[in-house]
Amino acid sequence: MSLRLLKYALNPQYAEPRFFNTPDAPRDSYDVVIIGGGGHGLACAYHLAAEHGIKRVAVIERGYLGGGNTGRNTTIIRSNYLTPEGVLFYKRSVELFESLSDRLDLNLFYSNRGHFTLAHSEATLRTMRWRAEVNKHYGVNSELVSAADVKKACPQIDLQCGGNHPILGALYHAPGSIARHDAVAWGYARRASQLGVDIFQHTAVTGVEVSAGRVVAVNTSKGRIATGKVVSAVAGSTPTVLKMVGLKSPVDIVPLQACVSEPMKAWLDSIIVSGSLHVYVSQTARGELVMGASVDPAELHSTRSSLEFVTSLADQMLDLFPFLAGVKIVRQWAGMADMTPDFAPVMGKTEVGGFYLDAGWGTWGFKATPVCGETMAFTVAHDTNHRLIEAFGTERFRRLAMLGEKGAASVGH
Amino acid sequence: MKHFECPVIGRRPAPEFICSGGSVGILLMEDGDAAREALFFGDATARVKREWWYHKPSRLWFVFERDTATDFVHSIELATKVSPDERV
Repeated sequence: MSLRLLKYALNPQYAEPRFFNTPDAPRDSYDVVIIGGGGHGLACAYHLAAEHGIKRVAVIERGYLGGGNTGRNTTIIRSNYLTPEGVLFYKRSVELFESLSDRLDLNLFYSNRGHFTLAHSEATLRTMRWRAEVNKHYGVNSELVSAADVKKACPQIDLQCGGNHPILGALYHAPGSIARHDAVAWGYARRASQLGVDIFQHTAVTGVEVSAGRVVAVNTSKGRIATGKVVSAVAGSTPTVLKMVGLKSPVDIVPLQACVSEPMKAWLDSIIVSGSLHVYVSQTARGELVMGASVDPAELHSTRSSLEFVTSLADQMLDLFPFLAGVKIVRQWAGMADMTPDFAPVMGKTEVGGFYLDAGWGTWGFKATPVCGETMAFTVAHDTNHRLIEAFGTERFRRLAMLGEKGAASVGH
Repeated sequence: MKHFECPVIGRRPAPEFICSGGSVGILLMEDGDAAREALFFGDATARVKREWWYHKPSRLWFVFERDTATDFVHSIELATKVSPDERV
């Protein structure tokens, strides 16, 4: 550290204010209470205050900000989905992400990399042609490319994958990017706090009071808060919060694990995804490889990690990049993914008046953070589902109107 | 590696099994609304649940009673033991 930096750090004249206010206790009432201080909840708080003039908002977080799935994902941002509803929704999210560092006045290390989804079979190529055409139709930049194009962008890749499952081509999505996920949560928290939102960490929600079919209050470990509107943005705790308002859950909780390697010299510019090998990988600005796979094999409410995950992931990674054999894994972790049957989210108004749901984010939630903030804030402010989330209501399961995103939302299911 | 202690086929490695999830019992399809409700909505909080598991090498179906908070398996029995009166 340079002495000059130290001088500024210790000089009270240049004191950097805290990122957000931490009031001791909540007020007796708020216009909106948001359960869950992850990216989604904080983005919703920010948009309520910034665009709808609703500033009496409390965000209640049981742990610490961004300590849930916001800080546990592999930070990939893209919009190359399969259904028209999904493509339009994630397209808006990528647009918001691209200017988010300016909006939040915080460097999110948003880094445009280009995103390859590898095809190892003719069947996968067919789905990719389909995805590329749907994407192009809605103005999203996706195209089918050859194996040679993959090799050109990433010379280290073994196109034969050890001879087991040769790469035939790929879906290339130029806008694919990565960003610092914790910075997204903190950036939204700071902006929301500046606009008057109260944020409470280490505060558990113990119950939601419903009277005559409407939300009237939220009980927390720091007291009762009267409110007419509650947003649940709690990912892995969604079934628990739904139970508090007497609703059954359309999501199941399954762990999703990830890991990072020791830092290496920059060699991987693109984001590489293989559905058949169940892996995805990108390299951070610090040089670590961030790697993830498919969800764990069974429902589990736990953030434990397993040796089975990391050995099977390493096995598949070495098929793609044999030269990584000597590289060490330095950290692994898990998040609790709230999986829906059709791999699309469940969002918007519910059967309980004033209770709004932002859930079903399974393994695809981080990239949706800004658009969830925007659309949920609109939905709460107007008590009308935003047009981009109209198709994402829970009643779609009763009508069997599924939004099949399985082929585009994640890997290896 | 994680293993399961099965009373029928003994101690087997966990990756030999596929968790098919769901709820154990017979789903009555006569009432469409009730069937959809049972299929897509339920109690998904951490709990002890009975679920279908398939053992690939022996091609046998089992019912596991498992705690979804701790992953502890309380009991394993052959799926043929499920009573035809058990409802989802």
